[in-house]
Parts: sequence; C-alpha cells; structure tokens
Amino acid sequence: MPKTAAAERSDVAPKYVLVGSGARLHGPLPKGVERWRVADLPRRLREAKPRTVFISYGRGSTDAILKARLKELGRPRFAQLLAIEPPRMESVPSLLETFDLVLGLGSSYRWLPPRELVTVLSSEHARDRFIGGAIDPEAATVTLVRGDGETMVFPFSFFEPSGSGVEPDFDRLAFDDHGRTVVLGEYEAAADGILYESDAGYRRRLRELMSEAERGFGPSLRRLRIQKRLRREDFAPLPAKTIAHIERGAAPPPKPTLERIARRLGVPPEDIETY
Amino acid sequence: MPFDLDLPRRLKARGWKVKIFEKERLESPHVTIYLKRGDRAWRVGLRDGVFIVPPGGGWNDIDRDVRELVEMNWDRLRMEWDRLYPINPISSREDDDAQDGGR
Repeated sequence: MPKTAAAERSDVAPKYVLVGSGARLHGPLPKGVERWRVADLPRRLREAKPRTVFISYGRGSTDAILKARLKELGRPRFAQLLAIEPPRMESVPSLLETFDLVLGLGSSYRWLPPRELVTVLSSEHARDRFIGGAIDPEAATVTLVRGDGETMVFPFSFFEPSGSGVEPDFDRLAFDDHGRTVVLGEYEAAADGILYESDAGYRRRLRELMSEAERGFGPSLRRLRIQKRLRREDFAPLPAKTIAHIERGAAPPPKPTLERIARRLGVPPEDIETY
Repeated sequence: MPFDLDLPRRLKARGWKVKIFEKERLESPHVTIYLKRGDRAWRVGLRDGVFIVPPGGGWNDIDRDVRELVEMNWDRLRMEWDRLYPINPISSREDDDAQDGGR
C-alpha cells in the first residue's frame, strides 16, 4: 500500500526547525525545513534527531525549547541553535549544555531575511554563503556565520576600501542576495571574494571547478601578488617582465626563482598554487 | 560602493541585479548578474565576455532585456571595474601581451 504524503513526512526528521512566530514565512518551506508550534515542542522534541538545527525567532520560543528539552534529561545534545533574537543571558549556560553550538548570543547579530535564511540553510552551497554575523567595535572585528554554522572572525582592516573610496560602515552590518553579499553601509562585499582570501579549503574547491586558464601556477601567483598588494616591479632583482611571463604560464618557474618569489610574498613556495 | 547597473523597474521587480562588488580584486575582472528568484548568479568576464566557471551558465539563462543592457553598457562596466580595482585592471593582461609580443 503506498504511503500518504503525511506518512512520508513523518518518516523523515527535518534537519532545520523554525520555532516562533517572528519568521513570518508564507508559502511552502524548502525540503528539510519545518515550522513547529511552541505548544507542540514537548512532543516534537522527543522525535527530533540530535543533528537537528533549531532556528528560534524569539526569546520566548528559545525559552520554550529549553524548557521542553530539560524535561528529557540525559538525551544527546542537539546540533545547533540559531537565536535570531538573542536569548536571555541567564539562559545561556543551559543552552550551551543543550546544543553543541549556539549562534546569536549577542545583540549585535544580524541575519539574512527569514525566507533567504531557510533557502540558504537547505541548499548544497550553504557553506559558501554568509547567513549572519556580528560586529565587535571594541575588538574591531567582524564575525561572519557561514551557512553550516562555522564562524569566521575578521579585523576591520580586512574590509579595505576599493577604488571607489567608500569606507565600510561597521554600524550598518546586513546580509543580502541569499548570503552572497555582506553589506556594511554603502560598502557591499562579495562572499566569494571574502572566502577566496581567507579559506584555503574554499580556494581548493574552487580551483577544481575553474577553467584551465585560471588554474595554473601563473594565475595563482597573480592573485596572490595582488592580495599582497605588490607590483611586478617589487620582485627585484627579478625583472617585472619575468614576473609577467611567469604569471601567464601554467607551470612554476625553476626552484631558485620560485623560492625568491615565495620569500617576497611571505608564503611557502608550495602554497602559491593554492591561491 | 559596488557598481550597480541601473535596471528598469520591471527587471528589478523580477529580482534581477547587475553588479560589480567589493572584495573581488583577486578574481578575473567580471560583472555579476544575479536573479533573486531561485537564487541564481552568473559572472561574465569583462575581458572576453565569457561566463566564468564556476558557476558557469550562458546568456540563454538570462532575461533578454538584461543581456541587452549589459551589452549596451559594456564599456561602462569595464571602466567601472578599472575604477574599483586599479591594482587588477582589465587592461593589464592585454598590456602584458602587447609588451611581450616578440618573445
């Protein structure tokens, strides 16, 4: 006998659960995402898998998750809580005992709009998007949250002005374009540009997909040189023309030249090709 | 500030954007075309007009009116890239090739 749609749904535990009325999402949710009513939490939490990620849109709903969960002492922790509204400070120790990871513990966190957030979380590219983040003006840092929950911390100086001269405004952090854009006032940084500069694993994955022309040693050297803000003339005694010639080639130069270039760039010779 | 090509209201309402972002200085010069509905993006190389891989794709994926606007504003897009990224200008590789032609 064929299963009904409802029976099939109940067999598959959701990976992402929205709790709280703040989400205001209309229409169907992406695959793997469900919305639970606070009243149903005690029953639904008993069925939930430990890998479940909870997205709580209100302090009240975070408290409700905690209360329902604490009735089931001894059960494994859940994977993650995304607190869109920061939880009560007094509840933080209990939350940290209930979830492997709690994100949003601070009033400066900003997140993607709800519809974009669930779309990104349930997409295969979640890790390559920024779903939220926070500013710490004292430490002068920007914390960005990737779609898989990993956080990355950057100094303000990482967001250098481009040729337009527009400075990032760290009081106006926001996220747009399904996590492809980090907005700092008028300054809008591309997520892939941020990841390219800061995550060797992302660079390796990207390189596998790049065209042959962009993948060789030369294009890597060129990107790293630009990142280090060096001109081709800055590699003396190697002539600028030699650097230009190497940048157009696919193969690394002879070892002594390679080592000289790497020293000037401040990276091990074998790292150049990861850029 | 990124360069944001001004699109007619009709295209904006459908979720289209054509932009050159900040923090893209390490990549080949390109413009990003983004469609909010379906969360899709394409990157068109400003040196040769070829779609960069990843994410790949082609003009067949893109609204004909967006394509026309990009083509109409091609020189401006190239100029804006050079303004945003003077350290990685469109012309630099072309200059290399010209200087190096005899070798």
